[in-house]
Amino acid sequence: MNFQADCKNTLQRLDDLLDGSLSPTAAARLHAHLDDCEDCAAALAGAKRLNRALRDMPVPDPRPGFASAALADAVARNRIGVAATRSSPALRAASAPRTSAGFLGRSRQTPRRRLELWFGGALGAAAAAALVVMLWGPPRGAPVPQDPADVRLTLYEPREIGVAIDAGQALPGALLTVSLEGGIDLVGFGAQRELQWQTDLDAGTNVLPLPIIAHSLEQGRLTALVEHGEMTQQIELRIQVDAP
Amino acid sequence: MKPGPGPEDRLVVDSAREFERLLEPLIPVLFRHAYRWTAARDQAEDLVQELLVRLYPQMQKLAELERVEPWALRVMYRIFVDQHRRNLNSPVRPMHETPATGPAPGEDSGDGFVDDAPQPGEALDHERAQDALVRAWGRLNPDQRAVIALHDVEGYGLEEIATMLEVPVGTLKSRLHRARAVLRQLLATEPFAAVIREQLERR
Repeated sequence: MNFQADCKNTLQRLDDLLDGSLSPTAAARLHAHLDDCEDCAAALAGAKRLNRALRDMPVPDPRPGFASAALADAVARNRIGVAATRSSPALRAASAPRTSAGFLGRSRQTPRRRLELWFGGALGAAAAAALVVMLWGPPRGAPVPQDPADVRLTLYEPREIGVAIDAGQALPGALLTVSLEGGIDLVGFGAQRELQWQTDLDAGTNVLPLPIIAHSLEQGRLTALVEHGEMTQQIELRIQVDAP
Repeated sequence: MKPGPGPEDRLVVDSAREFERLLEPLIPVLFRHAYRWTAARDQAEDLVQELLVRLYPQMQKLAELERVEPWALRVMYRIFVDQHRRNLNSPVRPMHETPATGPAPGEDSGDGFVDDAPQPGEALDHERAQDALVRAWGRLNPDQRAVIALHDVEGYGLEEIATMLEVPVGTLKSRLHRARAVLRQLLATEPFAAVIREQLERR
C-alpha cells in the first residue's frame, strides 16, 4: 500500500483508535504509520486535544440545596402516588407522570406535518411579523386573569402571533391549551377549536408561534392556557378582522 | 386525640432514609452527566429530579446492585430520550434557541480529518477555543452530546455504554463517530476558528 493510501486508511480509523476498539495488530500498523507521518500524527494529536478540552469543559454545581430538595420531592411524589393508588383508581391515573409526547387529543395523529408547517415558513410572504405577547411572569400559585389584548387581521391573510411564555423556572411537562372562538382558525388545523400540547418549558422566555387566519369578519378570540402542577395562567387575544 | 405515627409511616421514614443513603452521594455525578447531556443547568436538575422520582419505587433493587451509577444512568438516559422526543413534538421553542446555519452538521461524512479543513483540536487549550467548544457542544443534538460525554469525557467503555443505551455496539460506534464528526465540523465553522488556530500556532 502506498503512503497516501496509508494516510487515508489511518485517518478513517482514527475514531476506532480513539475508541480502543482496534485489534493489537491493526493498532500497531496504524501506530507505525503515525510514527512516520506528521500530518496523520497531527490529526491524532488534535483529536486527543479535543477530548481533553471536552473533559475540561466547566460543569456548574446544581443550585444550593438541590440534592436534599430533589430527594425529598422524589419521596413525596411517590407517597402521593401510593396514597392515590389506595384511594381511587381514577386518582392514580391522574397522578401518574405524563410520559406521552407531543400533541394530545385530536391533533395527535400528524404532529410532524403540523410542525413543519409551523416552523417551515409555509405561511410565506403573507405572514406578518410576529406579535409577541408576554404571557407569564414568575409562576404564581393562582390564576391571574389578564385583560384581552387586541390584534388586527385582514380577512384571509394569515398572520403569525408569537405568544411568549415567560417562565421564572424550568417547567417540565407543562400543558398548553389553545382555544379559538369566532371567525378565526389556526393555519394547518382546519376547523379545530381546541389544541393541546404537553411540553417542557425552559426558564426564561419560550415562544409559541400561532399562525392564525380569519375566514369571516366576525370578531375572534384566542385563549392560551398554560398549566403546570397546580399553577395555571392564561391570556386572551381579541382578534379584530378587517375587510381586505 | 391525634393518632401517633403508624407502622406504615415508620416504613416510609425508613425508606426515605435508605433512599437518601443510596442516592445522595451519587447526585453530583448524576448531575454532571445530566448537565453534559442537556448543556443547561435547569434541564440537568429536572432530569436528575425525574430520575430520583423513578428510582424511589425500585429501592430494593438499587440496594442489591454492586454499582448503582450505570444502572441509574440507564434509567436517566431513557427519561432524557423521552423528554427530547417530547420537545421535538412541541411547537414551543426557547427564545435563546436559534436554528443552526450553514450545512447540516448531521450530513457530515466523517471525512473532516482528510481535507484541509481547520483542525479544531489544535486550538482547544485556549480560552477562546474553550468558549467556541461550549457553543459547539450546545449545538450538538442531545443524543450526540450523550454518547460523546459517556465515552470521550466520562470514559465509559463501548460495551458498557451499549448496554446502558440498549443499542448494539456497532450502532453505538457509528453514532459516536458521527457525533465526533459533527462536533469537529461545528468547531471548524466557528467564526473565530481561523484566528484561534493562528494564535495557537504562535504558542
